[in-house]
Amino acid sequence: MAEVKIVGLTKYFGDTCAVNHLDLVVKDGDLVVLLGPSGCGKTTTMRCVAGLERPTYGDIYIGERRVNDLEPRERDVALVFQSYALYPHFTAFDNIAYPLRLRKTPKEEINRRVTDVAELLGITHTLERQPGLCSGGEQQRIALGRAIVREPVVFLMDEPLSNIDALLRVYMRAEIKRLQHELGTTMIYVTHDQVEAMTMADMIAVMNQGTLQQLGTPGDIYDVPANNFVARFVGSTPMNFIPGRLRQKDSQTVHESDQFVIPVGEEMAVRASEMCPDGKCTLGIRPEDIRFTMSDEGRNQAQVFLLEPLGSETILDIEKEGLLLKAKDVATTQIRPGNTLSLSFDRFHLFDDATGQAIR
Amino acid sequence: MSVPQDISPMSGADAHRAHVQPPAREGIWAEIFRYRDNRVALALIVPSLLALILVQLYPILYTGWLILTNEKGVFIGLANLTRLTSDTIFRGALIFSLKMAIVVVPVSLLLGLGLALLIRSEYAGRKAIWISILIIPLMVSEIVAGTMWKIMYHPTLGLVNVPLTLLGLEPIIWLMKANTAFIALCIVEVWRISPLAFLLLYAGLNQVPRDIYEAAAVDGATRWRAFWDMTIPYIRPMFSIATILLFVWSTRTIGTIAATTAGGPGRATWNLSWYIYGMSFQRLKPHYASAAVIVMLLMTYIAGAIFVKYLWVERKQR
Repeated sequence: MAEVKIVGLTKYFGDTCAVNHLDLVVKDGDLVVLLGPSGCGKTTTMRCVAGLERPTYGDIYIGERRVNDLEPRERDVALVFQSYALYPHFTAFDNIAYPLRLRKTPKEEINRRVTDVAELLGITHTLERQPGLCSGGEQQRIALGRAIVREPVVFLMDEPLSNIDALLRVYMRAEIKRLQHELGTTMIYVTHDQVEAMTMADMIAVMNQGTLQQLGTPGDIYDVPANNFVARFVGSTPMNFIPGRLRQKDSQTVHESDQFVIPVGEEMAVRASEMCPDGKCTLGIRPEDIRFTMSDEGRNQAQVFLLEPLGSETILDIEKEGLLLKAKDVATTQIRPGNTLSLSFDRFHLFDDATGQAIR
Repeated sequence: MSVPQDISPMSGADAHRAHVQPPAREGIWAEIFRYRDNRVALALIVPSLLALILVQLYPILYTGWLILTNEKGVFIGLANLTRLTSDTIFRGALIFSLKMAIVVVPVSLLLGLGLALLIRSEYAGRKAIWISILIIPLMVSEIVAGTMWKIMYHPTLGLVNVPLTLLGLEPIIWLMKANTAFIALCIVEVWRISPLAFLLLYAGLNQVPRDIYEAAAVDGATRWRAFWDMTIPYIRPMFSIATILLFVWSTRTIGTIAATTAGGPGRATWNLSWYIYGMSFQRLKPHYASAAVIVMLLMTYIAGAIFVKYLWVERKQR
């Protein structure tokens, strides 16, 4: 068990910069999720920690040790690959036992530990089979078993759930989190699925184009996004963005767009005038934060043009003059397409158009 | 942790009634003629099947008839075969063929594996160029290869002796002594057939998924260990195929011998093929030579069976 410290990590592939000056500390026993779209450098970062890629610049520490010059096998990390990378010519038992065999563990202990792990993961029935004869979910758990059997100091997970079906993914997500908590081992988990990140992480590191966008708890990432990228990327029904500018109107600051005029709180207005003097900024609001009433009165009116029932709730697609907003309502909503709603915006974020940074 | 997987769109009772019994078994011919694509396939296969029968089955049967008769066409039973057992020239040729296979096959396999690993490594650069250079010997005919090497082995003009004379040593007259002629022929054969081993093993290596090497590295394996645990089990079937083919190639070679030593000095470099050729076309005893053909066929077959048994280990459970 150890802390992982990444200092100024930069990785070039030829002329392409995959990771750009990344600083990240993963505390001992934490589960940190590297979240970002494909090609954002999250997997490269993890492969640098595993020792499968050499950093171009920067240092990686595991515990007190600087591991830049260590071979993967000397780092005592376990990696679960997106493709699982199981040894197809070994049985599941041998797959799980292989790291132990390499460490010259006594045979009885190997048997005991592999059996224990298999029981923990519910794959005892597959042990005599080769991975090719196991289902995707079983393969995934064999790969997981191979990682946990040797009790490494750090777990690295490279999108381990992206190849299994949606239903099983929901189970495994909780399972991995529970395992990590039980074992208390530091884990770096790479995913592009923000739901996975939100549900599993102690801390989320959102990355884009090789740079760290924000590091924070899932709550922080969701409620206090650092910039418009984080705001856009996190949230299963994405945040609504309304481009416009800040104006003074009747001694009050408002965010004025082509469609809406939205009053801005005094504190935020002061901050905005400091950070974004030209006033050009985009307002971002989560679907659940849009309040609405069925009425023809009020300043901000818009028409519902589509309902997306999800069973547990309904997404309202609202349109006004070319701007599309999504709002959430209960499943048993009385609203029908064509209804006019009066909208009010209370909790929202402002993002400086020039830098994309959140104003707060 | 269990996830319900069997969710049938039909309600329970109906689901069981949908297909009560498996369909009745049909004969293989009924199966073939039932579908149009099968009928087309059959029509396409039949001509080449007939050609195969003509060019393969007929000569085999004819050879069988040759063995059982003498030059006058009189049936003599197995006399041709029994005569072989006391034929010292035949025995010498058989031993020479085996000796050569024992040297050439392992050396070619190792060389081929080494080259395959080298070309597959990340340091190889333009792989296509290397591969096309390396398989040139495969495309050269045996006679051409033999002639080229004969010139190379020339006592005064040959390239092979150049380093020796430069070092002040006596040039070796390679093809004129039994021992050196054997070595020289082995070198020619290795040159000629190791590209086949390379090609097969390279193809085998390319089937090894790369990510398992990374997994092995993280799991704690050294490169050497990963080679034994990952690479070798993977290329093992290909290895046994390569062994069989190389064995067949090296025992049946005739062109290289014809072009270099012509069986000499004396009968020192007679192998089975050369013996069969000499017996049938120089001494004009095709009936007797056919018996040697059968022995050669059996030898190859038995060797192949042994290789398959001990090398082709199916991915088994431990």
